[in-house]
Amino acid sequence: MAYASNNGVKTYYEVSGEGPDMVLIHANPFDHTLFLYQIAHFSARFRVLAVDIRGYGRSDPVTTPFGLADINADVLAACAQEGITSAIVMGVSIGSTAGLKLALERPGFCKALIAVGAGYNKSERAEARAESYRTHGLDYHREHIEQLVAPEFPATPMGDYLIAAIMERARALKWQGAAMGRVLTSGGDEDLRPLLPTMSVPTLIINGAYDNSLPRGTETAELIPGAVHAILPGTGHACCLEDPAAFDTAVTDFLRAQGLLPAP
Amino acid sequence: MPYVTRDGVRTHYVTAGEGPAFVFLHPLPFDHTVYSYQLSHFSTWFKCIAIDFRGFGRSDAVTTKYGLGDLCDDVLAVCTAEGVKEAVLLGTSIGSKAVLQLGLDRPDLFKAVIAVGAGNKPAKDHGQRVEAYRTEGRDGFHPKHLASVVTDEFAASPLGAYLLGTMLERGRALGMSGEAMARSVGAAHDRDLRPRLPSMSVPLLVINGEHDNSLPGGTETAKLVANARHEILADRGHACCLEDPAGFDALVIDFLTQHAMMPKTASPA
Repeated sequence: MAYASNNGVKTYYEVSGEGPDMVLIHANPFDHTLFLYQIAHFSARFRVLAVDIRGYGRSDPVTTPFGLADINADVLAACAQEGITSAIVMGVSIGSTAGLKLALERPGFCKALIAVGAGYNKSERAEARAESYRTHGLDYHREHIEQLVAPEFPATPMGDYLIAAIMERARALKWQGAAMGRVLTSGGDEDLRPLLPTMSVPTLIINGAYDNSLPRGTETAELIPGAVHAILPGTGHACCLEDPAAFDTAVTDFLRAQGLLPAP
Repeated sequence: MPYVTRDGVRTHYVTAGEGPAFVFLHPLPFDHTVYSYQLSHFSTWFKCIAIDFRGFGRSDAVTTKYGLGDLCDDVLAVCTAEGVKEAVLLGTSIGSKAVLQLGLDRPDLFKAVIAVGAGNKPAKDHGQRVEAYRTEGRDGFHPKHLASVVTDEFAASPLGAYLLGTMLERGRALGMSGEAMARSVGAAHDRDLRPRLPSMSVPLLVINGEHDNSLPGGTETAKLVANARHEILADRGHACCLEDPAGFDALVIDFLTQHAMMPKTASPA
C-alpha cells in the first residue's frame, strides 16, 4: 500500500499483479475494496492499481468543494508514482464519469475505458445524498448502499457480509459525511455529452439491469462512436460486486476484442 | 510487487491495509487470492501480509525437494523484509501446518495462531496427489484438486465456479508447474507435529469445515494444545474462508477479541 500526493491531498492506493496497467476508480460510498473480485482476477494478467478517492478508504478527506479534475489529478499522481504512463481505466459511477472525462482529455493515457454506470453529469440524486451525509453522517451509509444494489442483494449471505464490511470499514477509518458529500457533488455543472462523440478511446459501458444510471449509460453508449454496452441482469449499480462472474466476462470479452488481453 | 529472495528462491507476497501485522498463508492448490475476502476485511484494522508459497502464485516454481521448514523460513524472510516485530498468523491446510510450526518455533514473533484444517502429520493419501500432479500435470490435476477442497455445492454455485475458475486461470497465466505443485504437496506432509504440539504457548484457534477431510486431525491438534479453541463451520469444506467468509471472519474476530488482539481503532487513527 502507498500514498501519492496531489496539491496537499494524500491518495491511498494498492497495487497487485504484473503486466499491462489497469487503473480502478471506485464508486460512492465505497472504497477500492468494491473491486475485491476484480483485483484478485485481473492481477493475474495486469498490474492493477486501485485508488481510494479522497474522503474514502485511507485517503485524505476534503470538505471544501472540488471537481472531477481534482479526482483525476489524484489518480494520475498515484499512477505517476508507480511509473504508469498509460492504462486501461475502469471506473464505477463517479469513477465512470471521472473516467469518461479522463479519456476525453488524456486519450494518450487511456488505452481503453470501462465505464460502469457511465453518467455524463452529476446525478440528480447527488445533492440530496450529499445533504443526507452532511446531516446524518455514516448513519446514512446503509440506506445509500442499498439504493445501489439489486433489491434482494442485501439479504443474501454474501450481500449482507460485504455491505456490513464496508460499513464497518467506514466507521473504523472515520470517513466524514461532509467529505463523502463533496465526492458526490464533484460532477458540479459539467456535462460531457457534447464531447462524447469525439471520444477516441475504445469504451465499454456496463450497467446493471436495476441500475438507476441505466438510461444515462444507454445515452452515453449511443453518443460514443463504437462503444460496447453490456447490461448485466439481476444487478444494480455495484454489479462488479454483485455478479463478478458476469462482470468480469464482459470486461475480458471487451479487452480481448480490443487486443488488450495478454495471452495466458 | 514485493518479493523476497532466500537461498536463491523468490517468494512473492502482497500487503493490504495498515496497523498490526496479520500474516496469511494459503492452502494448496490456491495462492494468496484465496483470502481476497479476508484481505479486504481485515485490512481495515491490520497490515495484512499474504504470501504465495513457492510453486504457487508468483513465487518461484521450485522443482527440487524441500520441506515445511523451508516454507517457514520463507515466511520469516517476508516478515523480516516487512519489519514485522509481532504478528497474528493464519494458515489453511499446508498453511496451517506452517503456522503450527512457526507458532512453536517463534512465540516471540507470532502472538496468536489461527490454523484452518490443522492436520498435524502426513496424510496417508498425499502421495496420490503428488503423483497426480506429476502424471496429469497442472492442467489435468489442478481442477480436480481445487474441487476436492470445497463442497460440491460450492463448486457448482455461480460464485464458487467463478472463484475456482479464476484460480485455474491464475495457474495458467502465472505458469504454475505440475512438478512444482507436486513438490509443495510433499513439503506439506514431511513431518509429525504431534510430539511438539503440547508445548505450544501461543493462543491457538483451530477452524475446520464440517466436511473438511482434516477435521479428525484438526480435532486432535486442538486437544493436544492446552487451551486451544476449536470451531467447526457447518456445511463447509476445507477452503471455508472462501465458502463462508461471513462465518469464517466472525470466528477470527471473536478469537482475536477474546485475546485483546482486535484493534479498537483503525490505522491511521
